[in-house]
Amino acid sequence: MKRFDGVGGKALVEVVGAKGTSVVATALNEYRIVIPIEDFTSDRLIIAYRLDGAPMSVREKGPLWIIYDFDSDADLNTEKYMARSVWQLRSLEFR
Amino acid sequence: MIGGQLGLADRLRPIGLRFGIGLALVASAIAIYLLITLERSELVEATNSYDNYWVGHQLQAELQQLIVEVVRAEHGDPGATFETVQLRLDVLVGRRTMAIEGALGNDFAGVPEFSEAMTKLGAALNEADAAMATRGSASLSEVAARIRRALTPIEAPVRDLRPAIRTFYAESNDRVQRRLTSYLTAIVGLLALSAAGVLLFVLLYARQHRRLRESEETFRAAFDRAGAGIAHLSSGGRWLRVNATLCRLAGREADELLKCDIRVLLPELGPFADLIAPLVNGERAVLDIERNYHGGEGTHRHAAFTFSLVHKPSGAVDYVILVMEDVSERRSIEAHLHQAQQMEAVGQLTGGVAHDFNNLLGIIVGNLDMLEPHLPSHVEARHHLACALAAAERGATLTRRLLAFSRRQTLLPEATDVRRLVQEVITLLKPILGETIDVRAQMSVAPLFAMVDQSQLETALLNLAINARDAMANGGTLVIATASLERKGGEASEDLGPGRYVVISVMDTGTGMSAEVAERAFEPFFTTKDIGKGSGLGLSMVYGFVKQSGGHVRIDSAPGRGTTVRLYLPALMAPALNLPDEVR
Repeated sequence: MKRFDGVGGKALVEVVGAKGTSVVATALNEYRIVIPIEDFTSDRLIIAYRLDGAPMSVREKGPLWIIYDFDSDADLNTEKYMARSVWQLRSLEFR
Repeated sequence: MIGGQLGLADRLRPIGLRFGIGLALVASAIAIYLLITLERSELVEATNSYDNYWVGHQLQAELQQLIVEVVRAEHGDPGATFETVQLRLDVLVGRRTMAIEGALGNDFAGVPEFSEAMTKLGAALNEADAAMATRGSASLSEVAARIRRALTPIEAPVRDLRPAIRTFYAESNDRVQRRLTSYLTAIVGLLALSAAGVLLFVLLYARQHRRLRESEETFRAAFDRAGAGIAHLSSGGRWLRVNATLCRLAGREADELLKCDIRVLLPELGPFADLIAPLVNGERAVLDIERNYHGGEGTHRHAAFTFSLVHKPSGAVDYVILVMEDVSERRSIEAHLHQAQQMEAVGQLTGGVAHDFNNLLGIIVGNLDMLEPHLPSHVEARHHLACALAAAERGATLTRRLLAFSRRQTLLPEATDVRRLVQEVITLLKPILGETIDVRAQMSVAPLFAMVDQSQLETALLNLAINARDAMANGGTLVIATASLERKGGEASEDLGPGRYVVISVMDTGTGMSAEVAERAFEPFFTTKDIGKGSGLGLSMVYGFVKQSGGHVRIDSAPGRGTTVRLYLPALMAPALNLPDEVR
């Protein structure tokens, strides 16, 4: 069992005052995927920056990693949400 | 199964049924299991194939990104720094770890290209890390050049990973395809087997069902259409099931019967449990009783009731089977037959005695006749002789009557116009019967001829008329009627066979007689007249004569309602007639 700590998706949207319907998440290796804004506003994901209390290096898929609430919602444990769980997150673009 | 014969096929049928169902179930279960397994294995293969190919692609892409960054750093590109190189290096290191630990490692780990590429990549990345560690002393371009040199030899193995993955999964796909084919073959085979099993089941079941139905129909028909009344009764005597014959015998509708118990037929029957006790405690297998019963609408008939038990598998009484037969007719025929046999026996006895007696009387009369000339003219002696002769003559008359009853008298049958003979007898009767009795004739329109001894027929009619007169002491009416009767085969009885008959009826309005008396009326020496008034041989003679002539006599009488005696004589058919022209 691993423990991730990070910024909640909803809090992130509110703090930066982001607007839009979808979010383009890009990784360090240019991996890119479109995530619906609802995944953020419903607080189903966090932008994790700690794994088991410690910051994550790039070699450990850090420093930022989109983590869904897999433990409390079994429906998330699918290919679709795995693909959205971007590690080595470089940027989030709201549009 | 009527007759209880179980053939081999019948014994095999239940096994066949179970086998058919079992086969279908097992085959279906295996087919379903195979389908699920197949689907899952296919899914896993497809996912692995996709994931691994993707990881291979990423690995190559990230290696290229690192090389591009290193080359830029080596050539002094202003955008390239130690940090950008470190980032790309870190990304690739992370990717390698993932490739080894993650999906790519699953089933691809054993492939030589993979392990070789991963080992070489590991060494190159260690070298790169070592180069980066010198960043304090060496220049960016020196570090970058060292990293590039370390990376160059692993470009080819990493590039070759993807084709290797593709080949590996192509083979794997082939395996899956082969497995799929064999699975599908097995499934089709199993489904065919299960279909065969189901078919077998359906066919056998249908056949068994049909046999069962036929057997059921046979038993139902036997129950419903049996000539005997059949019923099922509860152990308390209630009707559970009745057939049509039983309803007819009982004179009641089935639903009416089913509402009550056996006492509706046999009201005087005690508790039913007592009646069937010998059956219940095993003393007897069947119980027969013969009783008069209420045949509905106040009629009383005689029937034989046969009870037997049907037990439940537990041994308790399930129900009682009753077979009921109306024996009224049979009993009456038996009684009739008994009477006829009795008459026959008495007739033979009296006939034999009368014959010998007649011979003795002949000797007595002959000797008395021969004695007469030798007697002196002694008045007293001659008187005794005359008395003896008269007594002998009376004895002879008596024996003649006995012979007539025993059908041993000599008859002289001739073609007789019965109407004319009856007319003559009536003329003769009027003075004999006196004025208090009104004598009437009812003659048939058609002429009636019979082959009969005329004088005996006259005597018989006289006898009947005298009996009638004696029954009408206070006067009355005597009717003598003639008629013709045709008995068809179906209506023939024991006494009166099929054919045409001339019927002469002698009816009086006298006292009549009870059934018991009528039954014995033809017996010799049976009389209801006062002692000395009748010989008891009148009706016996009539009976003997008519029987000897091939006919029959019937008495129809009831106390207070007069008596009718009917003589049935075989009619003479036209071709046998040899008569004067005017009567033809």
